[in-house]
Amino acid sequence: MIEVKDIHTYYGLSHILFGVSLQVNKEEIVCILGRNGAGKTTTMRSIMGLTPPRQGSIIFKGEDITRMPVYKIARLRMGFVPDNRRIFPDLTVGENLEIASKGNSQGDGWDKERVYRLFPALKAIDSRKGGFCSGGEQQMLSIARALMGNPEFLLLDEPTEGLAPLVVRELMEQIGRLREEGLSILMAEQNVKSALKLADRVYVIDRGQIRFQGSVTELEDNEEIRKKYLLV
Amino acid sequence: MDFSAILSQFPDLYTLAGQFFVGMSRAMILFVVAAGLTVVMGVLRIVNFTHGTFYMLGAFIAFSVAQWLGGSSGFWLALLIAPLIVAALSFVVESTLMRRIYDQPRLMQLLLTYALVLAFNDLIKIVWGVHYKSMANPIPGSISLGGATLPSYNLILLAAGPLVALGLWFFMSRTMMGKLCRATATDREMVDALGINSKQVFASVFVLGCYLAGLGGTLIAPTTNIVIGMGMGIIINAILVVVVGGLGNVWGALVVSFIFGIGESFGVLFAPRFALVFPFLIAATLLMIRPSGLMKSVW
Repeated sequence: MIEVKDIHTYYGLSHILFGVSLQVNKEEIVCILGRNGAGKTTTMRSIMGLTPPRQGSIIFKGEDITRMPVYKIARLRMGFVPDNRRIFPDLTVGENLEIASKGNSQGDGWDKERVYRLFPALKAIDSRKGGFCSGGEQQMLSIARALMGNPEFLLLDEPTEGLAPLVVRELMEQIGRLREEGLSILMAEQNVKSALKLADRVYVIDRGQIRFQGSVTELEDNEEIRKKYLLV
Repeated sequence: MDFSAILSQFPDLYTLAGQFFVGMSRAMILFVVAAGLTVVMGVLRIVNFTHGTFYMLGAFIAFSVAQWLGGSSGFWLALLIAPLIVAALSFVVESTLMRRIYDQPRLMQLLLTYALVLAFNDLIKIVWGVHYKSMANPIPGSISLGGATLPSYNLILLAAGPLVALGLWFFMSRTMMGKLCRATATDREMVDALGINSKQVFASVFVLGCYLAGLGGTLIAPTTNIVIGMGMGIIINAILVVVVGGLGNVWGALVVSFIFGIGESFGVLFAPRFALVFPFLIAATLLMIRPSGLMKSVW
């Protein structure tokens, strides 16, 4: 589905990613784990084209998207759920979803009704302004909004951040359901426990470099990596 | 004591009513121009001095279109065509120059938009010459409104404001493009991440704003001398209206335009020597009460 090859990304003069490589296969949930500031969000932003890497390449469905404009990358059916959710505060929940369907009309897949079936809580607040939604509602809306573009590949940046444990469990179930629907997902997480329940494979990132890659059980067996980079 | 007896003690009442309607008509023009500016400033986040120039171009182009077509129907066709020509011009300006400065520091934006003001002033001198132009009033005569006499043409102005306000409300709240505008105003990057080309949204908003500036210029054309520099006069007031009303807030622009129009027309009556100062006094007072604008600003 997607292959990131040795990318170097900068914010202005500061060098953030040092040769990050990773891969997500079809219908796979892959987790990037790492502490705050390790480079998870920058990896996500690099893939989406928001902070294009200066070196290295990103191949999505066989196409080089390294220097493509953001909206064109999105139209190749890549969905983006940013870490701070970035709901449009002045638009209602329904309007947030409507404009997202404008960006990508190809593919039958997702419409408002189907999204509301996955997140029934959103249906009840259809006419509420995005800025007045709770953290959990905004997180659901952010994922729902990304789905409206009929993505094949979804970038989920810390979806459980700041959510109550009960909400986290529910959200993880819904994310698992997305894999059954045929989506591939790259998820950045600090919440290691909930992420590992869902993930097929794991990367551990620290100071802009991938320090570990493997299956969930391999990570669970590797105490050194967990102690050194994850504090669990 | 009957009503007319009371009226006779206030001989100024008809004059006051007349002043009120004239003030409102001017307020409507100001609103049409400021509405365009507030949409542009709200979504694109640039301080666009060129807005007044598009207003002036609207007036000059309306003059030429009406003259070219001739007859009494000239103005009405100009009302349709002139703002569209202004919009087309603004599209060229946006796609060649404006889109390069959205991410630049505000000082650079001022430099470009002010440079455009000067360049267009000279362009107008080349095309229309240095002498002022004036247009025939499309509806001469006057009517009586609540006892006050008012030029008939002002009825058009009084209707234009609410029509533009309604149109903009419908556009912003009900159309896909309007929803995209509101989304782009708060988070441009996220709009792109949804597969929408925000550059196109910006261009559309700029053209819409300049259309309104051109419409304002066309509407004022029959009531005034069309001169180089008329853009500077309105842009200062329009920026005040936008800032006091709340950046990007069309309703704020409407309310403040009313306040300006009424304040100015009554101010002239009571203290004519200070007429020029009134908008600034009003703006300063309102900003002291609500520094971030009367209504919600998107900045």
